[in-house]
Amino acid sequence: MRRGAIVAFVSVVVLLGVWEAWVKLSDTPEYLIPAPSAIGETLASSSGLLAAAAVTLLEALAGLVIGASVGLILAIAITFWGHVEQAVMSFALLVKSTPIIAVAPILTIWMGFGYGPKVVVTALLTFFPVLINSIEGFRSVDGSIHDWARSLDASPSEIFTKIRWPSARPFLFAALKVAAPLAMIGAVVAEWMGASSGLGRQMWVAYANLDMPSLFAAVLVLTLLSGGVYRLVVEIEHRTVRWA
Amino acid sequence: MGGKGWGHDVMSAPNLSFRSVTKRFSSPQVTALEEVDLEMAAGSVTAVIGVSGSGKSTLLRLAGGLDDVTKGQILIGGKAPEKVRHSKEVGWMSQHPALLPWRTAAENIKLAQTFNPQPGRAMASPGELLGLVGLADFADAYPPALSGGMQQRVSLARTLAVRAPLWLMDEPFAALDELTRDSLAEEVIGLWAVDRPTVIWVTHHIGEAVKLADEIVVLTPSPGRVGSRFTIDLERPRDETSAAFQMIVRRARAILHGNPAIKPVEAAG
Repeated sequence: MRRGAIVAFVSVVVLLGVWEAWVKLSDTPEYLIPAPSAIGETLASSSGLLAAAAVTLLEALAGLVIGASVGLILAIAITFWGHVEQAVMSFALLVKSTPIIAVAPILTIWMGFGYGPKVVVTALLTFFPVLINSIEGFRSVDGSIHDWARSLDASPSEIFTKIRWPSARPFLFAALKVAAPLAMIGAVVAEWMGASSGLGRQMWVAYANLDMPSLFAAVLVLTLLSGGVYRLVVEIEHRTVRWA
Repeated sequence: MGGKGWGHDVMSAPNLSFRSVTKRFSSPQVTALEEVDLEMAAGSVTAVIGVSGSGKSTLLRLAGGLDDVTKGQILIGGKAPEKVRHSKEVGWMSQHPALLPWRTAAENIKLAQTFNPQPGRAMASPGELLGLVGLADFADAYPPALSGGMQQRVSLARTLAVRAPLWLMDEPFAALDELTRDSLAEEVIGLWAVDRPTVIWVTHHIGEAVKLADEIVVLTPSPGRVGSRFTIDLERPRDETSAAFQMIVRRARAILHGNPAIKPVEAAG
């Protein structure tokens, strides 16, 4: 583990060194590829980047919470009332198949440049994996366990809370591992379509000005945030799903 | 096995009767059981043996009220299986331990008592029940950390936990090795003797059936029919090495493997 960390660290340092040397020696213009040092300077000097990251993170988390909740509630509904499955799944597939990149500008026109469209886009992106995995999870209960519970006359709600819900937890976390980084992407894409703040907005401005160091810096922050959100889900899983 | 302290407030064991019971499944279309007539006395142990596809498990599921009969009628102490299940009188054990991996052995047993609270019946604590099956030291162990045999012991303790007057056992020892099977069979009979519930014990192991049962019912396959039945009058505990035991095993084997044609019900013993 420790050795792995050292190797990773050395690799990154070497890579950055080679990158820096190559940009400097070949005299590549900054608007094509900025040197790592230039990106670093932008990161250090630009206070707006951190504020933008906070906005994007908030939008992503709000959208994730809403999307995941809707997915979960629909999955629970399907588990209890099987006959709603077809209706819910048709609707879910319709939403899932609609390109978000086409929906985002419409939402921006309707809801403006604030948080609204970002949260909605993120929710639309994240509810599907949570829905699918939760359904799978609630159904993952072994037939012999289900028979046993029924033989004891356990009620459907008892079976749900004591057996189905705990069985579904690993599936739910698998969904969140997909959905959490997706939420960051959703928020940034929506911001790109028109926003007053956020990482997507920063990227868009930097892109328009061919300000490559700022663009790279924003991408770097976004990547780190996505990784961080993913780690957070993994960490929560480790603490709550002990037996797996 | 200290079952003495359980008190004698357990519900009285029911008798069972199957009257021309037929069970058909629609997809795939299979007749699992056809015209099955059986009577089981209250407090008796009936072993149901038969090859795969003879409808053994189906018979048990019908008795437990987990599936409905297509034709005919099952009465358990005069009541329909569904009703018996709703009045929480069923103890169920399957070939798979069916334990919840996120609950310790004790918590798994506790859950059975949560699902099936019986204010009228004195319940042994999970710890005591684990003691009965020789796992007193494993109350806090999670099932994945236990061997297959130990998991099945926990499952047995969980079946005992509700002190049901009817035990439905679906090949409970099928996945166990010979040694574990023998020692668990001894224990089960000891535990059965405490409350004397009515037991249907499905198995494909003839020795196990002869060891445990008052009566053996042989089902013939596709569709499942009662091919033969006979009572076993040997004293318990039964010695597998005795000549009388071996003779019954040989006879059961001859019926099971010998003639697949349906034989008339014979009353022997």
